Amino acid sequence: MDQLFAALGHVLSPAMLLLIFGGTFVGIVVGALPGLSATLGVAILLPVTYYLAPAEGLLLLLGIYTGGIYGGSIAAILLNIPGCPASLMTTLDGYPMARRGEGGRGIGIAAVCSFIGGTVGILALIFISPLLAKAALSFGPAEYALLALFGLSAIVVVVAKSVVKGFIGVCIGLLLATVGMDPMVSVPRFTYGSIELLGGINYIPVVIGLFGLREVLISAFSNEKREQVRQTVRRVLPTAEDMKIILKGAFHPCWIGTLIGALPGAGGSIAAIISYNRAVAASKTPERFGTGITEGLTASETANNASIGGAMVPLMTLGIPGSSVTAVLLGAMLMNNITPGPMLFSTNPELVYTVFLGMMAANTAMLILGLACAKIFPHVINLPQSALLPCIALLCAVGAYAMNNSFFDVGLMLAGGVGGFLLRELGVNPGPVILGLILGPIAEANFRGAMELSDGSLLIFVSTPLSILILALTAALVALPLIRACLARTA
Amino acid sequence: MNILFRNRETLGGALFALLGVYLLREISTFTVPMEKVRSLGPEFFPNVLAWALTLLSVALFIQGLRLPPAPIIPAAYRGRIGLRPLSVLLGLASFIFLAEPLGFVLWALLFLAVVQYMLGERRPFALIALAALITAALYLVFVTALHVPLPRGPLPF
Repeated sequence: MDQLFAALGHVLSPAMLLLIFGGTFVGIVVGALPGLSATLGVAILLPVTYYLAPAEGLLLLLGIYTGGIYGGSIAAILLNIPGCPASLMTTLDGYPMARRGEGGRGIGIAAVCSFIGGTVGILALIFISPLLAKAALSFGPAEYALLALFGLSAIVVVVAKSVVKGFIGVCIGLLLATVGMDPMVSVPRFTYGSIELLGGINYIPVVIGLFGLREVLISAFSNEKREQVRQTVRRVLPTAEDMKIILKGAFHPCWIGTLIGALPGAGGSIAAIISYNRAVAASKTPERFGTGITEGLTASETANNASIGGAMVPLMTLGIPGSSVTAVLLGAMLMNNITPGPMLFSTNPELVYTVFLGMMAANTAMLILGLACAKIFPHVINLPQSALLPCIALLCAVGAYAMNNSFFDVGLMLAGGVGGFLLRELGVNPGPVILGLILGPIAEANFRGAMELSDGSLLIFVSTPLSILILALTAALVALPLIRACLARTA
Repeated sequence: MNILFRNRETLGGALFALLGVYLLREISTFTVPMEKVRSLGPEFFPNVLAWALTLLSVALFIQGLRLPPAPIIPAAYRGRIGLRPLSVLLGLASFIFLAEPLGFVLWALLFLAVVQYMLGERRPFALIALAALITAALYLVFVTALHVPLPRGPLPF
């Protein structure tokens, strides 16, 4: 209880609130800009957290994550372009609303729904995490190695369009993670005589390059002219009638979003799609969906923000991120010497409570900023690419340099950006690459640890019911797309 | 050659397979300690991964052969010489060589102004104003607030 109050005092301190509100605002702006995602926002501000206390840095990033998911709805409503993948379904009812001149109302409804969904997701995180963490205390190296394999398989199956390309991405990420001194017998691997590479590849510049610079290069290449927002946002607060519909329709999106978010690999976009389709199927007037109704916005916006709390469950309890953005958050935690997992709950409960309460604060900040700043968002979206892209590129360079004051890291960032661009052109998603790079040392250390315990016998990976269960789940996950493809061919 | 450039899958499969084979060759040069007390050496994990990469790449290549031919370069990129992304890349690469002698402030002002120009901004006031504003904001956040020692150069700040 003392730790809870200490965490509360910490979160409510002026400096922390400033960071949470600042992070959430940045997140909303980044999310609102078409083409830029919450992951990019978290990635390019990652080095800043190095200069803050661990909890402060983490809450800054969680604010960006929360704001980013909501921010995506603004471009979806005003421009019919999802600001981030999670707001894809928001375009269906948000844009027709804006075309009727009710863009402000749509943004207001999205803010309230995101707040409700976010709150339920965080409450689920608060109540489920300690239970799961307790169960995870019995995990040994074999279970952790299998869990890493499960996380990597999950991101491949869900994020990548092709399973083969997804696993190629994972292999590239894991191979990058082997660069440097071998952790057990101190033998250099792929270092080519470079002193900088002896310590391994610093994943922070690579993350910045893969998610930040790569997006800049894609936008600079395509040279697409974006549609400009013409209308002005007037009334933002939802009406009493809207509130009645929101409260009635938020229940199902809340649990769908939380559950889908907690599944490794799944995220806000899938949660919103499932929730929207369920709402259409359950409605007595399904033909009204897609014409700009509150029910449609409620289904997508509540679910995608509920997925945030859900997505934090595997990260906090098992240390296994299930998506690109939580992979970057894991990177931030490791960088600040926080090792997420079951031990964190017993060794540093104050930090765990600070994260939980901070997420609540970020969710509240999102509601306040979402409603208060709705009128300036159309101007933000209208920023020309010629102004936006150099600013993001500069931030990438400074961010990569700032952590170690190293020009080598700037080079790594550039390599990450160019590599990410080329991989994209070959159809390889950067998500599995990054997850492989971050989880690589964990996977290798636990795999080799388990093999040592068993004197080189692979049977250790099927020696406990838990390891068999994780292995079976992984196999089922990988087999799923293959079965689906076979069924489609037969049909 | 035609098979290689049939579509993105064949090209990607060939390139990744090449990478896999190269890595396998590199791994064979790893120095493994004489007294190998541990059951798995430093070469084991990279070896498994390089083999997996090679086999997956072959699978991707075969997948590509079964798919119809498709252009490797997307339609949106065709006919462009890529000056815009190249200016961003060269500009950023110049940070490595010019940030020390010029200092962060001068370099950032130049970078922002030049890259904005290359991306299509032609109004001198907009070029200079945004460059100054963003440089000042980054300086305040990184140097003043976070105490990051960004290169100074000839200027006193």
